[in-house]
Amino acid sequence: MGEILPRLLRALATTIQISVLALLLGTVFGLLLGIARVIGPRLFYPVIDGYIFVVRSTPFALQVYAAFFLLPRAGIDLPLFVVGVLALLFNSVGYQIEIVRPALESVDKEQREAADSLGMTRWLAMWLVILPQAARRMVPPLTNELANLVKASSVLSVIAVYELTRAGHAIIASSYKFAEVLILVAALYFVTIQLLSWGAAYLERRIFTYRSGQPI
Amino acid sequence: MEDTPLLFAGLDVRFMVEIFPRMVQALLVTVQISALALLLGIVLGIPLGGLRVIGPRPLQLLIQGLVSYIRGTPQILHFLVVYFALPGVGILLDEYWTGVVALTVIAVGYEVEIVRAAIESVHKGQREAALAQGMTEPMAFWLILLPQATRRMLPALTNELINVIKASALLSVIAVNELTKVGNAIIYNTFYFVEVLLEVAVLYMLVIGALSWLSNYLENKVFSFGTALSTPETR
Amino acid sequence: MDEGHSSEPVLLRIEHLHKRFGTTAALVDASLTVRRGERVVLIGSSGSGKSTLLRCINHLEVPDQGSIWLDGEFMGGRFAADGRWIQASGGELARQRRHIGMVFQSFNLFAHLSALDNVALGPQWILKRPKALARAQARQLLAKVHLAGHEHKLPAQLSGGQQQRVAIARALAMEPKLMLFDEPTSALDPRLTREVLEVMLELAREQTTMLVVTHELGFARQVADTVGFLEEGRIVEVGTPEQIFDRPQHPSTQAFLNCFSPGGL
Ligand SMILES: Nc1ncnc2c1ncn2[C@@H]1O[C@H](COP(=O)(O)OP(=O)(O)O)[C@@H](O)[C@H]1O
Ligand SMILES: [Mg+2]
Repeated sequence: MGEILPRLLRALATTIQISVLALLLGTVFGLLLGIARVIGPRLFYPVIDGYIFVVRSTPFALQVYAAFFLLPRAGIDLPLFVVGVLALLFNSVGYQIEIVRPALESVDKEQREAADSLGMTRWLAMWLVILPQAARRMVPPLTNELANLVKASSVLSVIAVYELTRAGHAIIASSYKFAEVLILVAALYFVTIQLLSWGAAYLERRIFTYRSGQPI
Repeated sequence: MEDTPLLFAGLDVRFMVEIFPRMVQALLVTVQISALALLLGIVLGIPLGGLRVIGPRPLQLLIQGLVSYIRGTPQILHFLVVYFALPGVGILLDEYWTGVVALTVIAVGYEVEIVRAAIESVHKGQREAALAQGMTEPMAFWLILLPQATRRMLPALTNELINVIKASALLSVIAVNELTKVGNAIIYNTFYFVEVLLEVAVLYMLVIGALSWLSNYLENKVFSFGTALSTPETR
Repeated sequence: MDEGHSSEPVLLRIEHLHKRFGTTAALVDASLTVRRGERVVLIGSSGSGKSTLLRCINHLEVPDQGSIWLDGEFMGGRFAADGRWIQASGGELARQRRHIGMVFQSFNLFAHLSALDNVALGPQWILKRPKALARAQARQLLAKVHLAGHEHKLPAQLSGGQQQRVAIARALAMEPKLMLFDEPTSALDPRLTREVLEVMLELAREQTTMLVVTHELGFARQVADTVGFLEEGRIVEVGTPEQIFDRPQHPSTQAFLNCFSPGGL
């Protein structure tokens, strides 16, 4: 146990790094594509919807293998860690668009009309009026998304990214203490993910009970 | 087929056609193993979900803990646990059945909640009317609550089948010949990266797309009373 | 209607019943007897404990204190030789409940079953009658409540009045000794109320033992042998319809009935 735990904790740090990176980069793309899906040219809609469909209708493991095979094939040689982050990013953006869009659409129509009446363009109204109000609503589901990413990042072990699951696997292979290792790995994931989902639920309550129970 | 041009948009179409039968066979393994896990999950999920609602309190907490554990840890971990733990306790299964057991564990974690929510969504007057008539609790559960709950479960179970199919791709690591594994094997042998990945992805999308359509259909058309249940999407 | 059930044996005896929900006392020292063939109507404003009383009778609610005695048996348990109270098992309770038919305000028909199956289910599964017999009897009962031709409809395809009549047939199918009605027409408009009350009138004519909670005072006057008035969990006054409606003694009864009389405001 003594030497196993520090190794697993370091690997957990990698897991969290990968997940946080994918979440933050994903939020950038998620916001851009989500906004485009709401006020962008109609031409984009089927493209964005198609992307979401591909992400959600194929196993994440397949997406990981695709990144692993196709990036080098396209002449892009990257460290496995980066390949892993990119695969996770590709996946997460598909889900984050679906976080951004409902949040934007939930802002009252009157808000948009008020902005219009001031003579703002759609994009300016989005930036100055809609987005700031919608942002609050995105925080709980994005926290939850981080929990999902921590879970999903375990799949990167199949292409030998040295995150928590891979580390556990490696330690089992060398020590064959599978019971101890699996219990520790499970506990580390469980605590991390549970904390994140509680955080999401807490933020949800904070945001949605603000002012007379009305969501804002 | 002989007239098909060899290349289309830079893809070797003839090769794609050639591997198609193997791909379909692998897809069938994927669907079969997932459906099996879903069914075993239902067989376990109904009593566990029932006990989660009407069982004694300690048992309820135990079941809830199990559900939180399954849902709050990565799916691949369940594969590792089943892969190492079953032989550890003297149960030796081949890769296929190891995979079925692992997928069943994953499915149960969600199905218990589907069953619980479905049962709790049946109006409490239904149980009272059954008891008032002289049914015992188990009778009321089997004759009145479960049949009504089942209809509510169908869309959610269809969604769960999608989740299980996606999870089954993880079986590639323990050498079950499902779609992802077979695709990888062909890539390693032939280096037709794009063709194979594309074909694998399209096959998944066809099946999963059809299932989501079915789930929506069941939710809107067939499902005629009460509110639909949702089940979280996993990756 | 006709007088004189006083010679009939007592079918239901409720003695000193108490029931609390948290801090609300839903029933306080309620006692009541119902003789075989007697029609008893309970009235009282909402929240006075009428439903709780009916639900305690068939142990959908377990009373805190007091006893319920149905045709020679204690409901919900029995006294051992040494005087200890032994709680009935789920199976025993189910057997006792077979003798009590219950009709709910919200009908509570089994939503996944046709009218016919709603009625036939109990005899088939609880009384273990052959399926064909159970269904034939169910058909007759549906005809009796004027629903011939509606056998294969689902509850959602029936009007409220029709649903309530199926519910009555479902309760009758178990051939109960006692029928409980908890505001059977409160969820219905006047026309549908009529349909249901007609069926109940026919049952009353057949000397069915009935304990009815209702706000239909005309019906009460017409069929009741005995009327009881509840207030805040107490049965404050019991008497013949004439005594209760024409010469109420208790001020609460008078006040309650005043709300119904034309120009009472
Ligand atoms: N399940 C329950 N939980 C808490 N309070 C209840 C419950 N059932 C009834 N009560 C309370 O008990 C009192 C009597 O209710 P009820 O018997 O339904 O009255 P009635 O049928 O005469 O309208 C009311 O104050 C009601 O709020
Ligand atoms: Mg009531």
